[in-house]
Amino acid sequence: MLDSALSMCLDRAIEQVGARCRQSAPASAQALVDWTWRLSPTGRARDYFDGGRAIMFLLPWWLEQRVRANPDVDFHELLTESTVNAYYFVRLIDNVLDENAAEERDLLPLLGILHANFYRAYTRLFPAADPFWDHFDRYWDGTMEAALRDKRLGEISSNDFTGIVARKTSGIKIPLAAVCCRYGRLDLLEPWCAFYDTLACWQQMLDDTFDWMRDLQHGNSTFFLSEGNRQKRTGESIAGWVVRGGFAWAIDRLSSMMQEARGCAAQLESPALLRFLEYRDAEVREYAARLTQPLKEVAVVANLFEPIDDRPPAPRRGRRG
Amino acid sequence: MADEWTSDFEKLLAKCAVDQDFRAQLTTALVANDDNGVSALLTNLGIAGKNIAARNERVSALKSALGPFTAVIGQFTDSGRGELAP
Repeated sequence: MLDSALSMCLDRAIEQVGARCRQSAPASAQALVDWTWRLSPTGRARDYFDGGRAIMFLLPWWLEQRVRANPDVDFHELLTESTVNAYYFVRLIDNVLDENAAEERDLLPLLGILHANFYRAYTRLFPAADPFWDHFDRYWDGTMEAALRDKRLGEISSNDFTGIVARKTSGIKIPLAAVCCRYGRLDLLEPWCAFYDTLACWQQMLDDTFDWMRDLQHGNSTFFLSEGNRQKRTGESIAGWVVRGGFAWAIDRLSSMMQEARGCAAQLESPALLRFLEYRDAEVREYAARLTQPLKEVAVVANLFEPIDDRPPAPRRGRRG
Repeated sequence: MADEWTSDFEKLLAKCAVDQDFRAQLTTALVANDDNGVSALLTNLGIAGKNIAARNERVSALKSALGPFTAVIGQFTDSGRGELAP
């Protein structure tokens, strides 16, 4: 999915995550490397950034290709290193907040190292008075604000979803701002950021839809589960709602969100971006199609384990929020 | 946000999603047509049918939908999502 030059930038960025502090903080360096390996289902930290997560590195690359034919690889090496560290920074916090993971709570001191690595790359690119830093502050503050407000939400409405929940990844706009500031093309920043806002909704909806079991288990509030609570019938559980119709509802929402993202992307003059969206859209559609028939058959099981009738709703108590 | 009440179906799905041993035992019993074994697993989970007829109906439905049931759980857990991960 990544150009070979960008792929090599990512390889080097992953290698640097622990290497940079190996002398000054060897235990931290090892803990960091071990955690990044554990995050990846293959055990190779690099593989964690293939697939959907590659968009973090691809968007600034494609934005630069929009400005000039051949992106500056040294520049993207810094951007990629920064983004890898920023992603791990957010991931660590998110895992602790979402799952209260004991193992990751013990790693919280590593946030200092990750943040320094994330920030340092930009200090090499832009002097302190550069207008870039206004964009940096706005997007980074927005990311943290959204993460904080998201955790305070109980039931999540459609407006909460687009205005708060899907903004948790706004940090991706920072490397976009870096490209625009470096090449004096701030005219491109707003349309690319507006596009990202639409794609972020689709990505978050995808996350909600396929992580619903784990979110339910951990008592996390999500738009998908909130909608399940709003839509499910008397005597119906969230799981029953998912197999009977909730999954189909989510796939419809994903489809309209992707349509909006592709509409926005069409204005950006980036053929590679359009191809990426087409690929992701087809991938999810195929995934959903493979699940449609099994879900129908599982709905029969649900009906026997969970007959929907006219009983009054069972007593409910909020898990959180 | 989510309610604390869980139905028998939700309990079963959630248990299978997080407990691979339980899932394997249930699959083995279903494939072997070991209705008593399936009933025992459901009873241990606290979700046996209220009467024998209902229990048999549930076991029978699970048996005929074993493949889809396993596929659905697989798709909604980390191992099944693969490239879709955001």
